[in-house]
Amino acid sequence: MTVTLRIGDREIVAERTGLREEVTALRRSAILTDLSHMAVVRVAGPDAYDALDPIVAADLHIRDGRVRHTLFLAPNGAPIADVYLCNDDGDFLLVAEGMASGALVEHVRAHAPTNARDFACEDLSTTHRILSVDGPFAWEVVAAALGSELAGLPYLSFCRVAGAHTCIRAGKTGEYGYHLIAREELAADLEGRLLEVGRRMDLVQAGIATSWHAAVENGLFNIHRHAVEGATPVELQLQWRVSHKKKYLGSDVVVERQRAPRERLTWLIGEAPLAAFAEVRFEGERVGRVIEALDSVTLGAPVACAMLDIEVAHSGLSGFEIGETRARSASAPLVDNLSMYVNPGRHSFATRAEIEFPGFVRGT
Amino acid sequence: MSGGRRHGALVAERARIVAQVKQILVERVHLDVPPEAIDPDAPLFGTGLGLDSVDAIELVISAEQAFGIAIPQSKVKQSLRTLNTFVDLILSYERQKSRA
Repeated sequence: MTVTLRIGDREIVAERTGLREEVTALRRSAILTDLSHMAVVRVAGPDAYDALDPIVAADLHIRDGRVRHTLFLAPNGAPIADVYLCNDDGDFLLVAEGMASGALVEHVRAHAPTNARDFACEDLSTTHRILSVDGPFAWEVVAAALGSELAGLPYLSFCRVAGAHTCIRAGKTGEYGYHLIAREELAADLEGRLLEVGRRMDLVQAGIATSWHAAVENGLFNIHRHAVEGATPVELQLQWRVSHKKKYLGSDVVVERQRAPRERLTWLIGEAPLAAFAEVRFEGERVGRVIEALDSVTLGAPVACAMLDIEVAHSGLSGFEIGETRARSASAPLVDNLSMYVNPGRHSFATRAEIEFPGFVRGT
Repeated sequence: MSGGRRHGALVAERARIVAQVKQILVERVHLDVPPEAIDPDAPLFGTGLGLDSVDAIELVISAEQAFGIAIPQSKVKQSLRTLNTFVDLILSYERQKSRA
């Protein structure tokens, strides 16, 4: 019962076998998701750094082999791309959501300084696929399929594997995550290999809706759902993704909003299902609106993220009203993650019962 | 206490602790971020604020001294996810103390 949705001009698998089964597998074992809707662009040349620096919201000084998780902003401070920026021996690999590869290339070219034009952009999304393995035992799947050294790959770093693929350790689910960028002609073999070895780790094929569901449960930004009109990294609690020292496209607005923030993205747990885009009231007054709502598979409760007036945008408050339903604000992440308790040096899927895990509900 | 006053008191109580923990992050852990740029739900480790295990020890010890509490090792991993989750823990201890 595959469910699909459209992102840009691509038809993407949203669910393969069902959201509940897929989210459960993400939290307890591992899932395999095709993320080929993401833009993949290589920026190379002597001026690659200078061309990117004005539009990358974070510090661009990254060591070779390391990854920066950052944003591209519009001039009004709104996020337009959620970007993994990888330093590949002086070239930069951009792996992004929110913008198609073509638009990403145009964005880089349009904002490159006039004295920094000696660079080239290569769109890799037409020749490559991205397969992502996520979950508390994702490391075991990729290590079994592609080499044991991957179990030790530090978070936000990348490497070449099997002489052909790029493996980025990153993710947006709160669990161990590995994005494997493979040439189109090799991707089917890679996928087959992952599924074959993943069987003993209960690997499940999943759709993009599973990762998006997990993002809400973990209080993580989803540019496809949470890029609220008029919101900057200040309101979206993404200031950690941007530099507070350098100027970049949109930084003036970010600095201005930091002086007096008026609203903030806040996480809510409801007593009954919550409606997306609904008005949020507190003590009889309108204080905001729901941005995304769902019934959390992991928590077993309705949850939402809402943009709330700053006076009430605090964790630990009860008495929010969304329609006829009451809700309370809570600290993200809303769930505890098994990945936090799994040590690849000591644990394995086979011996997972020995892992001291307090449970998925954090008790907030 | 009326709903409005209770809400105001809860927010003020939390805001006080948030401000103190931010001060610890900047002055004791030497986080190179201005307090107003520290998102309450930003991850403390890895991505996010980028603290490491040494920073975690300093944060816990400084918080114990500042708030007069003892944080057991068993609570550290779950509570040190974000500034907000750490403040949740501190708040729970402070409320226990005030009830005792």
